[in-house]
Order: sequence, then C-alpha cells, then structure tokens
Amino acid sequence: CNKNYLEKYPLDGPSSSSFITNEQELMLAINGCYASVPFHPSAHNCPLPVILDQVTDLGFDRNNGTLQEVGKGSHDSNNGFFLSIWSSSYSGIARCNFLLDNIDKVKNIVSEQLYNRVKAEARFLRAYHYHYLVEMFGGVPVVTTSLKLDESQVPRNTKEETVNFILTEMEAAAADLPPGYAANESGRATKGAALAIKARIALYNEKWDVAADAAKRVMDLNVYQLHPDFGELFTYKGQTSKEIIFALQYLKGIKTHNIPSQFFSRMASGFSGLVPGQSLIDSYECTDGLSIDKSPGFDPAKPFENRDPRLGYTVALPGSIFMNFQFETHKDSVKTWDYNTTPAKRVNNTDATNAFATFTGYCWRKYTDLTDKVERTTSELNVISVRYAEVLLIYAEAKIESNQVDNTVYDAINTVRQRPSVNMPSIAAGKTREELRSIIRKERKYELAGEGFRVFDIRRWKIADQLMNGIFYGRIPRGLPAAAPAIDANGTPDYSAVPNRSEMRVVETRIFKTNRDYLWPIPNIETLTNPSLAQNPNY
Amino acid sequence: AGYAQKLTLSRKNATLEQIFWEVSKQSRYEFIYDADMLKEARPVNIRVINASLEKVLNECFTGQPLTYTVLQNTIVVKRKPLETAAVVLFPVKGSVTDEKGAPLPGATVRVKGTDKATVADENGRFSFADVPENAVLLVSYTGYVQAEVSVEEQEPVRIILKESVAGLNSIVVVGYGTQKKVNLTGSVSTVKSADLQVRPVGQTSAALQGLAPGVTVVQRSGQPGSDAGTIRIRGIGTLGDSNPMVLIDGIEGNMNNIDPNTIESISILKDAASSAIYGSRAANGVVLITTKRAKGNQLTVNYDAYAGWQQPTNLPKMVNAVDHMLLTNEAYVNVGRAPLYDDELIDKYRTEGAANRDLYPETDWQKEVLTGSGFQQNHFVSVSGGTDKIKSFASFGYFDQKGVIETTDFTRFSFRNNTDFKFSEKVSARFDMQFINAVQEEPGRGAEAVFHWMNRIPANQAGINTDGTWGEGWNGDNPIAFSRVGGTAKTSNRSGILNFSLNYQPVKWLRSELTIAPVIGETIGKTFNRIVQTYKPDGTKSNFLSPTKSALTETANKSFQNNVRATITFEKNIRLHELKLLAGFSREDFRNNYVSAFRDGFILPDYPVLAAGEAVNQKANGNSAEWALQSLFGRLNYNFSGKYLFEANLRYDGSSRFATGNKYSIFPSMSAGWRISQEKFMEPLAHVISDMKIRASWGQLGNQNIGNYPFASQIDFGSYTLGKQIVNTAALNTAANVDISWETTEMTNVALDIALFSKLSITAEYYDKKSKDILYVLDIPLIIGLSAPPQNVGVVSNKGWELGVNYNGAIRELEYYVNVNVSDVKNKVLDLHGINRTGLTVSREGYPISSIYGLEAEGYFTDERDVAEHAQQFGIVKPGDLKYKDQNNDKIINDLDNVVIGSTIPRFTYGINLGASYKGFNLSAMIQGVGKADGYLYRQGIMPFYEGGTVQEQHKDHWTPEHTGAAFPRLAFSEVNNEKNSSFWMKNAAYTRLKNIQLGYTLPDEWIKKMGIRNLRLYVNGSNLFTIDKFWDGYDVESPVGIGNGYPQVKVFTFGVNASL
Repeated sequence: CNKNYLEKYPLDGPSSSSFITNEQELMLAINGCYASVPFHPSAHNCPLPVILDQVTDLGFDRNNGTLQEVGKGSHDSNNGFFLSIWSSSYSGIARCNFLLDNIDKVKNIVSEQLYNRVKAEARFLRAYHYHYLVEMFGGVPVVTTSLKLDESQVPRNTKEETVNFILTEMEAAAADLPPGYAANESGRATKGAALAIKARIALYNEKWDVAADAAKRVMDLNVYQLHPDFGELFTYKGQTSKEIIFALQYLKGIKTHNIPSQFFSRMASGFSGLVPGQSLIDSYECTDGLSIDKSPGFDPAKPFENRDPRLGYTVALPGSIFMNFQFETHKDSVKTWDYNTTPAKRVNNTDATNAFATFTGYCWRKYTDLTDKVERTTSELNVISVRYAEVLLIYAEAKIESNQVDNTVYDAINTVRQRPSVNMPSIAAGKTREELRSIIRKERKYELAGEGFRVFDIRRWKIADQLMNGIFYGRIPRGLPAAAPAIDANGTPDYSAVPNRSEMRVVETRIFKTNRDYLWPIPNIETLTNPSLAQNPNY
Repeated sequence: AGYAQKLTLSRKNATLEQIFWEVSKQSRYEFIYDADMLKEARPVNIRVINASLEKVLNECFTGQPLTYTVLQNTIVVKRKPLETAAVVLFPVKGSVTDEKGAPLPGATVRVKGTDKATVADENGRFSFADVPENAVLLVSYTGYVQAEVSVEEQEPVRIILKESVAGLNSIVVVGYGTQKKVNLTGSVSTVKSADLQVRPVGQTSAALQGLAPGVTVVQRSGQPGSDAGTIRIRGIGTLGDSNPMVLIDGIEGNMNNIDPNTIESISILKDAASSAIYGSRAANGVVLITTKRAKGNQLTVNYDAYAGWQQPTNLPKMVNAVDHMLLTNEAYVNVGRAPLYDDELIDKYRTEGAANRDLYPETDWQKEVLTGSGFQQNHFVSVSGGTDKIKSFASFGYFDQKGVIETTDFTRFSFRNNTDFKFSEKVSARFDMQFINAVQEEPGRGAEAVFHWMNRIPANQAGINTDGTWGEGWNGDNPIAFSRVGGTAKTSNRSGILNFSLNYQPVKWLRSELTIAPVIGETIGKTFNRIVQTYKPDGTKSNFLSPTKSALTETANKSFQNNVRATITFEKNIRLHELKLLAGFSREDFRNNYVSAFRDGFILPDYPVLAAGEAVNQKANGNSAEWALQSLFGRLNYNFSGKYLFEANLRYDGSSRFATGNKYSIFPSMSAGWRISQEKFMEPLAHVISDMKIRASWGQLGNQNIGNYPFASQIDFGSYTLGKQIVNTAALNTAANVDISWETTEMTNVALDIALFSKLSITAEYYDKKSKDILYVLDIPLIIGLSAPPQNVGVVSNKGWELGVNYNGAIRELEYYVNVNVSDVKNKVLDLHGINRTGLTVSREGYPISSIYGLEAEGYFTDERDVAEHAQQFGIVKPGDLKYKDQNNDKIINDLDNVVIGSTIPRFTYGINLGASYKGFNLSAMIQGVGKADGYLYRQGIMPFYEGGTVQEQHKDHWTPEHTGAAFPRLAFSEVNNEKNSSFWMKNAAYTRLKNIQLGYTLPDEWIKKMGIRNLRLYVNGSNLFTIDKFWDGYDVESPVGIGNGYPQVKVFTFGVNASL
C-alpha cells in the first residue's frame, strides 16, 4: 500500500528546522520578537508600565485580584501576576534566542547591514525582557540559546551576572542599531533605546559611572528632545514626539489595551479601577518650588491651585475638566457639568454618587485621550517605555550619587522642570549632595508618576517598607484636609498632624514584609519544574 | 334465571381454572370440575367487555377437550364425548413479531406434541397446511421468551414474543461483528433503544446515564445543546482525552451527532479483550451504536413525539438591595476600609425605595433573566418496509429545546435512510445515509456570561428602568438586556454520512465485506454581539456599553473523513468445535479546513452580515490539519461444545501522529470463558441455575489523542504593529517532541455471569487497568519559553468492580422488572515524573486524577491571640477568618501546606431501573446516584463578595463576635485569606436522584382499530424530579465543581405519544 499514507506534516506553517531561509522570513521572525514585548500581565488588559504603579504608594487597584494582592502584600508564589510576567518575558526571550540561533542561515543572503541590525534588535529585545525580570525577581536564569527540555534545569544567575549581561548586550546592540527609522517603522529598537535601558539598569544597580556615561551618550545623540506640552505627550498627538525613545506599539484590530476603561471617571463611563492616592497629590510642590507644608502659596481650601502643573497633567483633579465632564468627587456634588454639548448641560454626577466611583477621589490622567471615549476597551494609544526626560534624570541622579555634580546635573534637572508647559522654578546651583538626592528623588516622582518606575525606585532607595505599610488614603469624601501634611525628603506626606485625618477615606490597609517583599517570588510552578531554581527568601 | 350478569374479562394465556375463578367472582356461579381433567385443557385468551356468561363460556370452551352444563348457579365441567374428539385437520397461518410489532424472521414455530415445525420467513410469517383442531404452537427465537399459543380455525395467529429476561440468547454487537451473549468472553454492556428513548434529552450521551455498570456519565449543564454527558468507562485511564471511542454502524463519530430515536442498540466494550480490535483508540473503551433497519416486508409507520417544559433544579438565593449594602459595609469595615454605602442612602432605600426604583433600584436578577420558556418538543417519524430484494428504514426526526433564558435554543433535524439490498443468496449490500443539522443558539456573549452576571450583580443595580429602558446593570453589563437583545451565537453542526457495504458470501462458511464510508462535517459559527443601549436612571443614554461596538464573527470548519474497510470472516462448526476467524484491513484519513471572518462597528445592527460592518477593522483567519490511520486486525473465536470458550484479538495500527519509526504499534488481547452450567455435574441444578459462566481476559490498548503533529515543531504566523502599520510575524511557540510514541493501557478482567430460575441474572466483574507512557502535557520550565509538548510520561492505575443484577417477575398480570447496577473504581496516579502541579484540581502522584488540592481548614480563629499564636496566613487575618493547618510546622501557611483534600472522581456509582406493567399501563423509573464524591464550589459561586460581587441569603449566617458558630467566616471584602482553596469550601457530593419516571398507557386495540392505528401509547414523564444530597444550597450536585456561572441543571416535565400504523 501507499507508503506515504501516514506521512502528514503541519499544513499551517513551515517546520522550525528549516526556518529563516530568506530576508522575508528574517523580518517575520524579528517582528515576532517585537510582538511579545507589550504583554498585559493582569486581568485588566493593560500594559506593564501603567499597572506597575498601582502596587506602589502612588496608586491602587480596586479590582480584587492578583494585582491588588501585590499592592496589599497578601500575595504568594502562586500569584498569577508574577507567573504572567515570568512566562511572557521568557517566551519573548525564547523568540529572540530562536532568531539569534538561526540568523546565520541567512548571513550570506541578506545585506550585512540588515543582518547586523536585526541581530542587534533581537539582542536589545532579549535584554529588555531581562531588565524587568532582574528588578522584579533578582538574579534570574540568563538563557541565551534555545533550550531543549533536557537542558532546561538552569539555576539562577546572580543579580550581578544578570545585570552585567544586560549592560553588555545593550552596549553591543547600541553599536549596530540605527539612531532612528522611517515613520512607518518607528517602534523598532534604536541606538538611543539600547543606551537608555543600559543607563536605567546601571542606575538601578548603582553603577553610577556606567549609568551617567550611557545617559550622556543618549543626550549626545542629539536625536531626542523634551516634548513642550507635557500633557499632550501621553495622548495620540504625542505619539510621534521626539521625546519618545521606545514605546509599546498598539493598533486597532492587531493589539489594543484597556487603559481608558480602567482610568476614566464614572461620568466618562470608565471604571476608575486603577487610581492614584491622596499621598501622590499632596507630594507635588507648589509653583514656587516649595512643598505644600512649606509654601505660602498653598491654601488648604484650594489645594489644587498654584501646584506643579505636572500634578494636573498626571492626575485628574476634582474641579478640573476630565473627558469633557466637570470632574467632581465631593460626595455632595450630586450634579455636574457635561461639556459634550454646547451649551454645557447640568447632569447627575455619578463620580460622587456611584459606590464604585474612584475610591480615592482622583483618577489618572496620563494616557487618557478623548479619542478613546467610545472604544474604551480597545485603545491603540502607544505606551511609552523609555523617554528622554527619564534619561536626563538618570544622568543627574548617577552624577549626584557618584559625587560628580557639575552644571550638567543642574541643567539636566532644570531642563525637565522647565519644559514650556511645566515651568517650575529652576534648582539653583550650590545644593549639598543630600539636598540634591532629595530633589532628584522627588523629581522622578513628579515627572514619571504613573509610568511604572516607582516600584523599582522605592526598592532601590530602600523606602518601600515605610511607604507600603499601613493605610492607603483617599480624599475626605465631604471635605478637604484642614492643613497640609508634613512632607519628607522623599516627598512623602505624613498625615499624623492633619487635624481631620480621621475623615480621610481608608481605601486599603497594606502590609509589607521587609524580609520578603523587596523581591517578588519566582512563580511556584517554575520552582517545581526546575528544582535547581532557588526561591527568594521567605516565600 | 342464569346468564343474567354481564362479565368483563381480559386474560391472555390463562388457565381455565383462572378463568373459572374470575367468572365466579363476577357472577356468583360456581364451577364443579375434576382438577386432573383441567390439565388437558389448553390456555385461554379472552377479552370481553360486558359479555354474557354464555358468550364467555363458549369462548373458553371452544376447541377444548371439555364441555359444560349449567345447573342453576352451578356450572359442571366434563370431558367431551370421545367420539367428538376425532382429529380434524385444518391449515394455519400466522406471524411472529416482537413487542413493538417488528417481524422476527427466522423464528422457529413447532406444533406441540407433533414433529411439525417451520421457520418464519423474512416478514415473520409462517403457515402449516394441516394442524389438529386443538393444536398448540411453540414459538421460539433467540433472545426471546418461548411462547405457547393455541390455534383457532380460520383465524390468522399473531404471535408476539417478549425479550427474554436474562437475555441469554440475545445477540450482542461486538467489534466488526456479533456474538451470542452466552458465548461472550469479554466485558460488554448493552443498552436497548427503549431505555434510551424513555429520557427526554437531546443528547444520546446524557441518556446513557445510570444504564450500565462501569459506565459513568456525568452531566454538568442543562443548557440546550450543551447538555451532553461526559462518558467515562471504567475510570479515567489517561490524563488527557478520556472520552471513549464511538462508532456508529462501524464509522467513528460523535454520539451526540445522532438522533437517539434512530438507535437500535448500544454495546459498550469495557475490557481490553473486547475493545483491543480497535487498538490505538480503544484505551478509554469503545461504544458501538447500531441504528435501526427494516426487519420485514410489512410497511410500518411509527410516530413518536413528546413535549414539555424545563425549569432549573436549584438556584442560589441572593440578598436584596438593602441587605447587600449593609453586608457590604460590614465587610468593608472588617478589612479596615471606610464603609462603601452612606447610612443616608440606605435609609432612603427603606423609606423612598419602593416609590422611586429609578433612584433606588431593587433588581431580582434571576427573575428577570430566567424568562425563557424552557419548552421542548420532539417528533420522530419512521417508515419501514420493503420487498425480499430491497428493504428500507427511513426516518425523520425533529427536536427543539428552548432554554430557561431567552435566545437559548437547540434544534436538530435528522434524516436517516438505511437500505438493504439482496441481489442473490451470495451477494448483498447495505446503503445508509444520514444527514443531521443541529443548531445551537445562545446569547452572543455566551450563556455562561449570563449566569455569571446574573449571580454577581447586586440587587441595588438597575436592570430595567421604570420607563422600560435597560438599566446600566454593572458598568453596562446587563445580563437581562444582553440575554434578550444582545445578539446571538449560533453554531450549526451539519454532518452527512454515507455508509456503503458490499457483502459476498460464496459459501456458507465464508463471508467478506467491503465498506466505504465518507463522512462530511461542517461546523458553521455565527456570533453577533450587539450593542445594547442602556440608560441612566434619569432617562439619559448611558455610555456604559458592553460591548462598545457591535461585532460579528463568522467561522466555518469543514472536514472530510474517509473510511475504507475490508473484512473476511470464516465460520465453521465441526462436530463440537466451533471456529470463527476474522481478518480485516482499514484506513481512515481526515482533513479539515477552518476559516473565520470578523467585522465590527455595525451602524445598522439589524443587518448582522459581514458586508454591513465597517471595513476598517476587518479580520480573516484560517488553518488546516490532517491525519491518517491505517490498520490490520484479526480475531479468532473457538468454542468447544459451548462449554469452553476462547477468543484472541490482534490489531496493528499505524498513525500519522507520530514520527517515522514510532508510527506503528501492536495491540493484542486474549480471553477465555467456561460455561459451568453446561457441564454434566451441574444438571441436577439446572432448574435453579439456568446459566453460569466464568471468564477472564487480558489485553493492551492504545491512545493517540494528542493533537495532530506533536512530533513536529512548527512556525506559527501572526501579526503585530510597528509604526502604526500592520506587520506579519512568525514565531516558534510550541516545543515539539520527536520521540513521542503510543500510550498503552493494559487491562485484565475476571467476571462471573449467573442466571437463576431464568428470571434473575447477575454479572459481577473485577478489573485492573494500568496506563503507561501516558501522553501528557507536563509543565516544563517556563524559561524554555515555549508551550509544553505532550510527553510519554505518567502511569495511572484504575482498579474496580461492577455488579449488574436484573430481575424480571410477574404477579398475575402485573409484570415488573428491577435492574440494578453498581460499580466502583479506584483511580491512582502512580507516576508523573515528580512534577506535581498545584491548583484546585490536580493530578498528583499517589492520588486520583483531578484531586482537590488545598489547605486544610481548621475552623475559625477565635480571638486575636489565636491569630497571633497561629502560623502566619494571608494578608490581614482577624478572628472569624478561616484557620489553616500548618502541615509542615514552619509557622507560615503557604503552598507547602497544601494537601490533597478530596477527589472529584465519583465512586460507587449506581443506577436502579424499575418498571412495571399492568394491563395497558406501564410505569418505569430510574434512580441514579453516586455513593462517594467530593464537590467544590468556589469564587462567586459561594465566596461572599468574591471580586466585588454580591452575597447570598445563606451568607447572613456568618461569623461575628456574637455569633461564632456560623456557617460562613466573617465577612471580608477583598481579602484573600478565606478565598484560598481549602477544605472549608468542599462538600460531600454524593447523591441519589430520581433521574426519570414515566407513566404510560397503551390504548386497547378495539378502541384504536377503527382509527386504523395499530398501536397507541400515551405517557407522562418527569426528569430530575427529586434529589437527596448534602451539597451547597442553591447548586446542583451533578455539577459539583464550579464557580457559580454555569447553566443550571433542569427538571423536565413532558407528555408524549407513541403511535404506529
């Protein structure tokens, strides 16, 4: 009988053994590596950068689930949020490894320039995954080739080894990556992106000189500049800004996220599920550059006036217009204005009356755009992963920490503080190292709040145990704090002396185990399938 | 004087003495007779209504060797004068049928006391040229009770045979053939069509529940079209697909893709010996379905129909709006949060709520959602008949079942035509066609979404505003609205089977058969999710829309399966040796092609066609797969003198699913039996032990259900975006396992069959089944970055016993039967390469498959000191929270403290089938149950405020410092401690359920004859009417593991009719 009758092979795609035979296949493979970058590790279907701040002192996730557990400190090694990050990252790493293992099959077929570039893109993307893993979990297995089942019992590398790998890879990638791409190819890895991530991970690991050097090289590329309109940067209009170094790419029908429905107010038909807390609001300076407990310009009765403009760009404040509604969260504001029609209409205010209106009285404003008003669950707004302002702040902090303060440090900070739409008073020269440390830490908070850096900052500054224990506050439902809280060197408010503190809404009571929670646990199933992986302490 | 009274009598095959007794009871006449004399009388059939005594007596004494005289109130019986008893010969004609009127060709008819005998022809007809006037016919047919019928001159005799109680002589369908039940050496359960058709269900699998020992059927859902039963034969043998192989007239198919009314019988091959001939696909058992064929030439038309209503068996009782708010506040305060609802609002609810439901909604979500009619109806028409050359059985079925929520429906049209051709004594053929169109409809977002939201949204959210518009529900999720007007998901399953066989029998002992059977399948999906405009209480349009855009997805999956099979059978008896040999070859190949298309943004949602959607976001997708299987198989049956039985099977299977070198495997089996009852030394007991057989079997079976290409690593295509342009992508996502090979199940079986007094039959079996090299997707280290391939890992053992007891009896005219089946299986995972997954239901070494895994709850914490002294638990823990056992005494409760706390595999499953008939009435009942099982409810199904949902009435019985002996822990909002998998949420899932009960009445012939109807029966039926269990309130114990979002089980009340012309 017919010998081939039982020879059946997949009909939907080529076999992996023959893959990457030409330029088209090479491009398919590298695009596949990009596709695994924007993963959404929680039920909210939102990308990593915007959800990470909800497990810090800045924000809160109302949706009961794996993310809220992390913020509250009730997570364990079975938490699905960690599992999702771990498996998504390693699946992205595997795609890069597969490409790097097979790229030489086309070395003589494609141009040398393309060969080098694609190889560098893959190395960048692989190191990009590792740079999150190492900060979340500590040293992880550094896998650099496709693993077979019998090769998979790989122990953890030390944190030092993992960090050094990222630094080396980013340096190597930077050598072969172009400074930029045509508009229709933006979103690919650039030289600036590789150097910026290198700077970031060096800073996180106190390699001050490496960080300052890498950041400086980004600055010297002369490709990037701050977007004049801070608020616009996080909207559709800002997507092509020269400030953006690397962004997660979204497009309707292909890859979308759910930020609008989680961030929008009830009036704008959002869930207000992920929200900033009272302490973020109070930490912003007044326009005179002083904290609210010190500034004469602060009026407890009008707490949102005379404040760093970035407060209003980052957070939807009561009294502001948010998504074409007057945003009011005082519980007695049962009516509000709807500006979707002209003239505006007086309408019932669900942001005051609905039980599930924002628990804190505030919403995130970054990454909200009227364009997403209707299709709130399928936004195609790109989410920024690296932007120039961060690079400037990395440069400044690295120089401060390494005690090499010069004018370039003040310039870097002041460039960020004084972009046209922000215009905060400049920091005058002559500050002590301690003062500058306080300034740079606060500046990172003001500038980068809501963008996923906070969790790593409070870990490396070793202040998470103070910030993540106790009550997470929202606004006073029917009033305002009678006086400003005391603000410390890190910009953190202390409400113990606020007379009507007891009226503040207790949104959540958190615990942070210092001997455990500075690192997240390796997912339980991974320690079962690979017993050579040691779990982090006290999980 | 005498003869005045009118008598009503209806007796069949009654003795004269019985008639006398009856007559004297009704008439005050007494009979005088000699008992010895009556022994010469023949049985009497009589049916009279309001007849005179004279008529009754004449009927009784016609053709008897007796006569009578009436003396006042006494009737004297005496012998007829000898000279009148002279033998008169006359011709007799008649027919033999079963109870349903189907002819029994080949039935043997003998004239009692003579050597005259004949065999019924193709139409069950027979005739004798000359029989004596008082002749009694003895009619016998394999598998039926022998009948004795007296003959009357000139009248054609209609002989109806009843199936024999013990079924000893019945013929059982086995793999590629048939076998006499007495000669079976393997383990085969059979189910008759009547037992299936008594159940008002759409899916054949569900109807199998409780009918056969060792066959566990679990029905998890009552949703029309999704209410199929999961069938497990002798435990769970593998970690992957444990479904048995199903063959419909020899063609592999889906049991639920056939109208139950077209089924003649079902054989379930349970042990390795009987199923090894199906080799690589038999590891989970084999179910052979045989469809009905025309039996004789007589034209018969049958019509069976029923109609009725369903309603949920159980629903959790949810709290009202005020209670929801009060309990929510309690839960918030308990976890250190400010109360969610102002006291002022709650007061307003109490004082102004009833007058202003727009501002203070009070929605009974269950009441508004469960508005489907639940009406179901079934119609089945069949026509059977033909000539000696061609016979045909044509049938048409229509089944329609509407759900308890709107837009939920299952409709099936089925058409089947089975035709037999007889070209000559040597050549014959069968040509069968089946076409089925089964359409399931549910709300666009799925029935599960409806129940999820129905039991989740608090009563204080608006469902329907007072002006009749849809309320916002929860953020636009309004199950009332989307179940009624939110679009539908429709799945049409169409399949066509052609089954053509050619038989050639050159000599009596040699038969060959060639079968070609193409199967065409098509699954068409159309899901339209329609925007539902909801309104705020003030009448303005809400922007909470779910979905935010109307969207349409259409899918089509077309498949073609080719079956070719050739067998040759040699059968010869040489003196006391009976030998049968079968050899065969088969080939099957399959290919499918899938396409899907999507558009959204329907500006005119009344036109749910792709062209009406916006082009901007359109998507298309598609893929294909194929597989092939080719096999050689053979069987040897040998029996000596009907006492010593032996059988051996061998199958050599080759599958495309493995890489070259691993494609082929051999599956052997052997079995033997000893019919002790046939031995000489048993003769003294013959009147007690009608039959007794011991048998044993051994064999190996395979499994290849692991996807189509587990050995090949394939690049997957996809798409992504860069710079707002669509880019194509390719990636390796799944690891391959080139070395993958067959999974093997080895099974031994010993059994005892006994029949006593020809009324009671008992079958007891014990088996030991072990599956090795199980094809399983074991977790692999995630750092590999690819999803795991199946591997040959794992060993699972199933050991079990089965007992089947059938008893048929009669008390005068009351005939009854009791069938009981009980079985148990102990399942154990012996080896999993040490990878023991965690999770709620897990397969772990040393425990049954899908064991419940979690913490051991030790009650509630009593006070703060208790909390402080106990091991550290999860999040913020307070008195009244669940306390877990620190299994490893490390003072921290975590994963390491999880243990196996229960098992979801039902043990001691049983079915009790009872039936009785009296005159035209018959009653049947089926009681089905599980003796031991653990059930587990979790998430919003039972946990208060799970992910922000509402609570149930039963949660009011929760822990407070004043009420520590509560049924539930303290209320805590958004705290994980009490929501961990633990023994607290586990409940006993054993149950006894009155699965089905039916009362029917067959109208007397004389009533219906005038209408031209041969047989007419009316009945009422109830399903799932009554259950005894200890499971959680509000949930059906037949779906014992769940999260409270399933379509509930249903009770069904129907009435129906069976008619034949």
